[in-house]
Amino acid sequence: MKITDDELTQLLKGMELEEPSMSFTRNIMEQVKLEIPPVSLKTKVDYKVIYGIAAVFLTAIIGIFIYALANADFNYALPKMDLQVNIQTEKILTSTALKAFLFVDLVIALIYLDSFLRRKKTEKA
Amino acid sequence: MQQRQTDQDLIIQILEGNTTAYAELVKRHQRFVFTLALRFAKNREDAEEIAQDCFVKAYRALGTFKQTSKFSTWLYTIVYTTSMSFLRKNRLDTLSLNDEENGIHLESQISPLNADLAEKRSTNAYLNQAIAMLLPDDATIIALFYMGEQSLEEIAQVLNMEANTVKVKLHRSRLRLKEKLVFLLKDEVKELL
Repeated sequence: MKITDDELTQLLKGMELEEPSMSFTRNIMEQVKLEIPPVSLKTKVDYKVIYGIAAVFLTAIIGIFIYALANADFNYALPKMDLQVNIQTEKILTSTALKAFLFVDLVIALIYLDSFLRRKKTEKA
Repeated sequence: MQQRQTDQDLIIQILEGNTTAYAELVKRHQRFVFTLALRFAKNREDAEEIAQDCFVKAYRALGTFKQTSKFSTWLYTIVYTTSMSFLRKNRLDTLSLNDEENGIHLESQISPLNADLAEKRSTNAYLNQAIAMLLPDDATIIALFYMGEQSLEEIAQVLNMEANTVKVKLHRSRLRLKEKLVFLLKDEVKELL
């Protein structure tokens, strides 16, 4: 004898639930009456209290800020700085160095000009 | 036409002090809770005691119900733990949830059905008898899935295990049930011959 999976599923889905005795609900309700009524353990949020606390904090912060501004001394002078920089520029900035610097600049400018002209040529084509 | 109140509405009413609303909640779930308890207790008197105990426990703990899951799932968790406690108290040998191989069969504790011969021979009666021959955990998973219309995730929540484990257990429970059913129906064919 064989039972297929589908047949078994159909049988299981078609099963009826058992029925307790007629006095079942009444018996429970009688027991329940003797119990302390349940109360939600979720804390009720009173927004008035939250807004009140927020207002106290805001007032305190603004008060302190105003007090600080009123007592502040805005006369402020920049501190004097005396930097002792002693670089011998004559030794670094020689005429050869300047010429080399200008030559490199010229080469970079020529490379840029070349790439610019090539780009224009391709755009036209 | 008055719209049917949801479980959620009834719970809110109860928590606000209308304790009579609990009767409606009991009526809605009593059949399945009783059926589930019957899978553990094997006789109607004990099953009814377990079911009543579950509803009283649920009433006491209603304030702690977080309403993140269905009320039925939460209630079935209570039924499962209460039924397991009942089995332990009555010193019935039960199978560990994680032990598949060391099965202790309950055939010897099953009283023959008192229904008449016609009912006995009906498929439903045989199916009930086959389920009664299963281990309580197997019978619970089958009952929750097919009769309680609980998802694998919800059953996992009730039994406090992973959904994948429940899936495997459900498959194995079905195989065992099929074996028992074939065994019973074979006997029936012999009886008829």
